[in-house]
Amino acid sequence: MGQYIHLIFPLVIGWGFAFAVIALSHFLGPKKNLKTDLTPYECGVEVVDLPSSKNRFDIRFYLVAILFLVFDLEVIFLFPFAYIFKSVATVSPFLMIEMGVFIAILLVGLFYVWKKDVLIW
Amino acid sequence: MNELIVHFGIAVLLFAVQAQIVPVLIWLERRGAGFIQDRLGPNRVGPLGLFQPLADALKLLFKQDVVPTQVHTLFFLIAPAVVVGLAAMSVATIPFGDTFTLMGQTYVLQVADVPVGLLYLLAIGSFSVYGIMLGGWASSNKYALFGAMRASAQMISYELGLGIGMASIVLLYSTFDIRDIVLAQQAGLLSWGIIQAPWIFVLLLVTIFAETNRLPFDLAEGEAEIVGFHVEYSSMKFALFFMAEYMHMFVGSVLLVAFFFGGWALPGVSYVNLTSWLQSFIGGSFEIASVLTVLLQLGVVIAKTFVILWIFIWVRWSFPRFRYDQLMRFGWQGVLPYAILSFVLTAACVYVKG
Repeated sequence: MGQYIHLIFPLVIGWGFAFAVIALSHFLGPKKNLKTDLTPYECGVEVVDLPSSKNRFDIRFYLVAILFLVFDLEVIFLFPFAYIFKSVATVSPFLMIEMGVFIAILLVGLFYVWKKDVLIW
Repeated sequence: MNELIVHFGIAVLLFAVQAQIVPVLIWLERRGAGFIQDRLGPNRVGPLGLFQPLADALKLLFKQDVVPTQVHTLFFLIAPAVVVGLAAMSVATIPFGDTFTLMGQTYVLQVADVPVGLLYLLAIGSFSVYGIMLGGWASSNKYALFGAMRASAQMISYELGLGIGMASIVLLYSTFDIRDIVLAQQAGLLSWGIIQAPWIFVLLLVTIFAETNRLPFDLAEGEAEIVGFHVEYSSMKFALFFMAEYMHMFVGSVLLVAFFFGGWALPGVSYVNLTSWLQSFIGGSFEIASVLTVLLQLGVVIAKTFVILWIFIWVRWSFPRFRYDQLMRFGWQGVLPYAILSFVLTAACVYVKG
């Protein structure tokens, strides 16, 4: 453990600071709570409906999230390779070829979604 | 026990530095905008308008903290705290200075000197999407929700570039420990990352711009025209979102300094010699001299950071904002292939150098 326990300090300080400031402004500020203050802010236009699970949003947000998951997982696999590369590369050039194949597959995937016009907004 | 207290002290010091950077940066941004646009900028409150951010903060503190009736109160309340808390947590593994001795024990000016600092940073950085999404969703406002969607789609798109850029850094230095990365650059100007691999610097600079939602990537909240995820927030909660943005800018810049500009390294300056000179100069204990040296290193890091922060401001007032389709196209068809290319290029360089 050792040093890891110190990671808790910024957590405590940062969150403590944030909640303290929010509480302070809650006590210091006025509390008029006019009727218009408490409605959703829509530039003064009458509110038609609130967002709910029935509301639709653009499918491309969903596609971006899925693509992010796929590519981010690939990024995770780059890290162990990057970590050992300097010490192993000179010993075994095979590692280089292996990683080249992996990155090529990654690029093929990117090329596929590119041609499928998923990335066009 | 002593060790815990000293580290808590370091954590408080670094949080104070980070929180104090924010008003200075706001002042610098507004004066810088004035300078670039050939006007004065704020100059009424205090000398050169230096107390303007303080006055703004006081004003926000005394504003009404509106909680509209439709919001999910708990999440609405914690979202700004999540954003600021995560920004504060992300400095934990960044070194701001070398070793110093206190009461017979040696410490480093770093909250936690963990061997997986870079991975920790990446994890905490990814979490900040949650704060924005939580704030936008809990507001129960259509525009806030759309703003949050836009912001998170942007952030996750550019996070890929950031992740691969970080992997390239690991490849270059073959360590996850940011302190080791800085120590590897102490051997003079030629060992600095900016000389070793300038292409990663370009990649990380662009992705950090996008991650911090700075212009030209500020689609999340464009102050002047676009309604962003924090439209329902008021008073200090609103200020916390902005504070977090500036804190993230600071963290990103410190990170760039640590990766590419040698952290506290100054070409031609030997800190060991400096410590012994200081010791003979004040004619006393080694401990005081080492603490003074470390504070000097902190100053050097912050001075270098401000150079990068000035680039942030300079770009903000020089370039127009992207359109959303341009932003996504640039992220997926520009930054991502470039990131993969830079990874391969770095691997080739490391391989050739042996």
